Amino acid sequence: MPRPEHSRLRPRAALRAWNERMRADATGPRTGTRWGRSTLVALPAAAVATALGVAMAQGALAANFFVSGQPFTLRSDQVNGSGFAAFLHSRQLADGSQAGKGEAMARAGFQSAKLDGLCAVIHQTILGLPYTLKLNAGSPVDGTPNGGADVIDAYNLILEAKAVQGTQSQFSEMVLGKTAHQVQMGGQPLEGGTVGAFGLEAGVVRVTGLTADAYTAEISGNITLPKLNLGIVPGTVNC
Amino acid sequence: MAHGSARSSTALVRAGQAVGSGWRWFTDFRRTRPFWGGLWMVLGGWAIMSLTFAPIAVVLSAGFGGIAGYLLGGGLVLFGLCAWFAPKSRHLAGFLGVLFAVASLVGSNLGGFLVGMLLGILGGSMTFGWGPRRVKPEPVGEAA
Repeated sequence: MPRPEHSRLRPRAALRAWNERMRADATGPRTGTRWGRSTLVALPAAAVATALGVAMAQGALAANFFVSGQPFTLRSDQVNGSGFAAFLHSRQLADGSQAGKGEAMARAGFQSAKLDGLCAVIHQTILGLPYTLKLNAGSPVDGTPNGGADVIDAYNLILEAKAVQGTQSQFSEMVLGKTAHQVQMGGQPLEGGTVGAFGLEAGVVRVTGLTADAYTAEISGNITLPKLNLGIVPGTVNC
Repeated sequence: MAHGSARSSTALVRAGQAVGSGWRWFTDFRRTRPFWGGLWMVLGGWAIMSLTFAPIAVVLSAGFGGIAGYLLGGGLVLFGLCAWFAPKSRHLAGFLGVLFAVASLVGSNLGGFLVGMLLGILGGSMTFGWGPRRVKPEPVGEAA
């Protein structure tokens, strides 16, 4: 059907014409999803996604992470980091639970970190139904470092956490009390610090039995996830 | 009293008619475009994108990881809207939507922690496959 001449000039008339065309088209032949054609696209896509997942689980392909303002819990048996920097700052939470006032949080960055096992859970809701995303990688998180070949390598890893617990931790080559907007993780600036706030740097860090209630994870380098296991569990589950 | 209840019942009938005609419009809207496929793509794209909302300085300092969520998730939302408002280009929109969804597995938080990627693949392939149903042969005798 050719468009009327005035449809380009008068938006209201054009909208009415569009609506009339749409109502007329609706009386045409029945339409719907033709699942045979859909499968033609969905199957190769599922195959490619599976292949990518396998490549990531074997550590051949690195994943990109940038999660901001979502509460999640991280656990690892041991973290060996180098080029560590941290400061405290306050930030607004995305869920609005602390509307108006920020929440004090530690922002910590590693230039490189080796994680002995990683378990992460994120609690979310879809249409009011709670579900948990659970991510496991590397050796099982059972409280004792396993070492071995399944170490997770992460580069330029930044976490923002409300509470961090470790059963044992060692810091060396420390610089304490540096102004927060100038702290560096092994030569790279850790963004987001307030001028004059307390900041610290450490050359080498080792934390055993790490548990962190984090809100942000940024990995601007990359992370290999050997033995990746990712699942969606209904309800609220913990590591 | 009876007069008042009669008036309120006519108002109720009018409201019911308005809802009914609105619903019929919505039915026509759904019938003329890949509505559900587009909806799943929009929701999937939002699931990918909403994980990455952060102050702009932080987003930029994170490099590709910071903007990948906006690119891939935002792209998926756009393809979903394209399926709604340009149903003629549904094949391209659906195909690219599936492509973006798969790319987000590597590019952005494992595809919005799988949810966004799965919705994107579902919606994209539904959009691609949408079209007029095959005409069934008419039953004998009905033509007259």
